[in-house]
Amino acid sequence: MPGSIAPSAWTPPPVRLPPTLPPFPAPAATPHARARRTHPPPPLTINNDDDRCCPAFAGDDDGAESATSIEDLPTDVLSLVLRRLDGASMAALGCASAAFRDLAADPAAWRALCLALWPSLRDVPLAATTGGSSPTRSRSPPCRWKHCHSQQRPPAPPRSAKPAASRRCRRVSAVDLRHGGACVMSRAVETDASSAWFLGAPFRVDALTQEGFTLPSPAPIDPADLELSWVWVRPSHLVLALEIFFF
Amino acid sequence: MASEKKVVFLRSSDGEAFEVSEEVISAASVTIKGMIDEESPSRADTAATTTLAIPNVTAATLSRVLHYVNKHFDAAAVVGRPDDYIFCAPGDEHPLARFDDDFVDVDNDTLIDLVHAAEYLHIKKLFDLTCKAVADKLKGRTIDQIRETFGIVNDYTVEEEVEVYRENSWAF
Repeated sequence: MPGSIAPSAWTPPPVRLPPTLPPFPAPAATPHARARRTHPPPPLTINNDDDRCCPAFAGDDDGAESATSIEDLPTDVLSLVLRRLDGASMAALGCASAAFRDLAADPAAWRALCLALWPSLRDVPLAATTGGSSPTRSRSPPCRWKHCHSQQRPPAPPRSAKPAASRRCRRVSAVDLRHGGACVMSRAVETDASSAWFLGAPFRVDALTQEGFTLPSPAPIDPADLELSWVWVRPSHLVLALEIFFF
Repeated sequence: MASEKKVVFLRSSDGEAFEVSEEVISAASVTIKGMIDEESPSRADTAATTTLAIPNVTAATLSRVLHYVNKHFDAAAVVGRPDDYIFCAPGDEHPLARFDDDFVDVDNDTLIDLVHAAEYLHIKKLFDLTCKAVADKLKGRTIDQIRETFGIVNDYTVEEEVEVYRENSWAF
């Protein structure tokens, strides 16, 4: 019953548009062309001057802030938005207000950022990399993933250096080999750091193998394009990230 | 299908009605498709059109959403697949890419309303687009710019603020 639902101000006769008529022709002049009402007064001309009919559009630029805030968005929507941010922007957002601090500390989001940086960490079977807080030690506020992500930046944040405070011997090397920007190998290698082999040898981890090696093209590899990222992981958190270049 | 296409009417929260092809809106919005399916036994094949109330979306936002929907999901009939976005040759701009850019080039309130509407109506493409647009507005801004842009009130105490700045100093 179209007649009963037409708005009062300019009630047109309940004319059904022919189905062939494109209902929402976009006027080229307006940057965000808006949908036309579906009951324009006959004749069926496209009148571009009906902006005044639509109060919401008229109010677009009159500085009326406050009506809708980004904080009105549900938390799950906001966290989806945050997934599209880079680390620095997320950190800045976290500084904006207390509500955003919790949101921007989302371990899952930081984990995704870290995995984009170091794909091999995906395979590291450690509590430190599951994204949640570890069952034994909950250190939620300074998110470990966030810490890892921030470490890639030149001025690394000061970290309370407590060498060998807890003697955990399992170590994992997460190795990513990039060639011309494309990741050609991602591997996580676990090492027993208390073994005689490890303690007796120069610092060495055998990570490079044939398997899992995907070359983008059979073209010869130019060593100058190779870039190795080696993240040395201990069960509680990352301790060292190396970027090595071959020349 | 030489017969006239079915249409539905969507009534916004402020009582304005919009006509849209049933086929198009069903393809676009999971929520409305559900509503239509629920209605269908009662209306059978009668010529009566259906009016669906969309209580969470204002007329201004709904008209924008329908504009988007008609562009994206009606174009499917012409261009081919609705997702042929990704089949574009590299460097060959999809005709709707420009439309999308313009579509989200709006003020923040309108954009947030669109996110709300896309979420409520379950229009995934629009939701992704608007979420990305919100993220783009946040990207590369300083803290003060973020607060200013989105009207966020700084509710930290001085001590908290010092702490959170120190915690995130690596990013600035």
